[in-house]
Amino acid sequence: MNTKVTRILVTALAACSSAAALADSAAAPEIARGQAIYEEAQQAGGMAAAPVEMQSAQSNLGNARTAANKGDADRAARLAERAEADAQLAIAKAREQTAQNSARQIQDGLATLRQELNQNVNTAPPAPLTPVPGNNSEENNHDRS
Amino acid sequence: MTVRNTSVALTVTALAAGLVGCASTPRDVPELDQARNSLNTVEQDPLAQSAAAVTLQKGQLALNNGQSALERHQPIEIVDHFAYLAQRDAEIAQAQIGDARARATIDQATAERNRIIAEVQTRKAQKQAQSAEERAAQLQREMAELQAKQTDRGYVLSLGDVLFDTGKATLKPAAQANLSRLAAFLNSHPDERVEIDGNTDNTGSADFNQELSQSRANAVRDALLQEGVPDSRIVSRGLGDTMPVATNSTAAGRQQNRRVDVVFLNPQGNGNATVAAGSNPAMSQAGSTQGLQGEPQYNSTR
Repeated sequence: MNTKVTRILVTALAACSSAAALADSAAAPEIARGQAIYEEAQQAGGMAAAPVEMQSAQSNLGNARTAANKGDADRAARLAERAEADAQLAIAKAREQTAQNSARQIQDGLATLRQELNQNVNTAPPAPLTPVPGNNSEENNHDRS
Repeated sequence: MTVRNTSVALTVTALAAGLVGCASTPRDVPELDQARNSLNTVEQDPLAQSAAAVTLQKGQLALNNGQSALERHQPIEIVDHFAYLAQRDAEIAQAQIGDARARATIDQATAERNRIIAEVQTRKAQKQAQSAEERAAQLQREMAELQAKQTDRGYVLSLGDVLFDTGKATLKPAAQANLSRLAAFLNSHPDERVEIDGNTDNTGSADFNQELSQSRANAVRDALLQEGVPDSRIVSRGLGDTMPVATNSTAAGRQQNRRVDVVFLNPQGNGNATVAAGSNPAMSQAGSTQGLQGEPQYNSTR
């Protein structure tokens, strides 16, 4: 009976005081940091570059909050640290991908440029103007020599 | 109060579970081994130290923490946790190295791009200079073909009075070939404009000379118009006897003065080109048979 009442009380309390429990938890700094890095990863394009890691970070953060609400600060801190590591990886992957895209673009541009360079080498000089029909070819030859 | 009790209970349960887990766990934790392997692999990369030293250090620390947790028989989830962090650090380091490698590629490609752009510029400039030279040379040849001479006024094509019958402003058929070549030149150089100056010797009245010189200049202009040279590129003037090029006191001098000059107003490359003076065979030929025919005034004095 007593246990039953306690359980109901716990559930009720947990529902309305989870925010307070979270803020009071010893894991609060880890969770806050995990959340901050997660947001940083979002801004860095982590969702596109590393969706699996972002998903993992989010799930670890959620589990960390649940653990904190349940009063398991150590576990909460560990989960938050995992979330942070996930988000850091997402950030690193996003940066890597951005750099790789830029590298690819600039290399594509290089190929075009090389083509232009080769064309410049190979292009024949502009076609000479239509020769003026003349009856003094002997003299022309003389002038050209 | 109740909450605290519950949490204590939960912690105890967790610890118990952890201890049980630890007791039955072999000393090798696969996750830890895998993280160690990952870190070792990444460290082999030549760019590891320059691109990911801090991350790799962090990973090693996590690995050591995991190892010591394992050795001190801490709960398996603690060991797993450090293995997780070490594994993530290896992956982060891998990405950092990839990032550094891509950036190096960008730097290299940018340098190469700048080099090629400079090279393209240089070649374009060379080609332009070359084609400008070629154009000037071509113009010089064409001017030579036309028998144009370079004077203070630029290129001047001097058409003798042999183009016309005495006292008339009608072009002789023999003149057509020469004027066709002039027209062809103008049509292939759309920037060129010409001034057509009719000139006479000083025999006869100034009014007559003025009128005759204007008519002959117009006849040359009309011939060019017929060949498709636009009016806007031609100016024709009658200068009468005001611009002699030789003395009017000899027959030969007077013949030189009776002429139509075609002045090229802006030939490209005009400044540097020099045209070798030479006689146009067609014109010399005409001259040899008809050159001595002069203006009515000239004839009357002879």
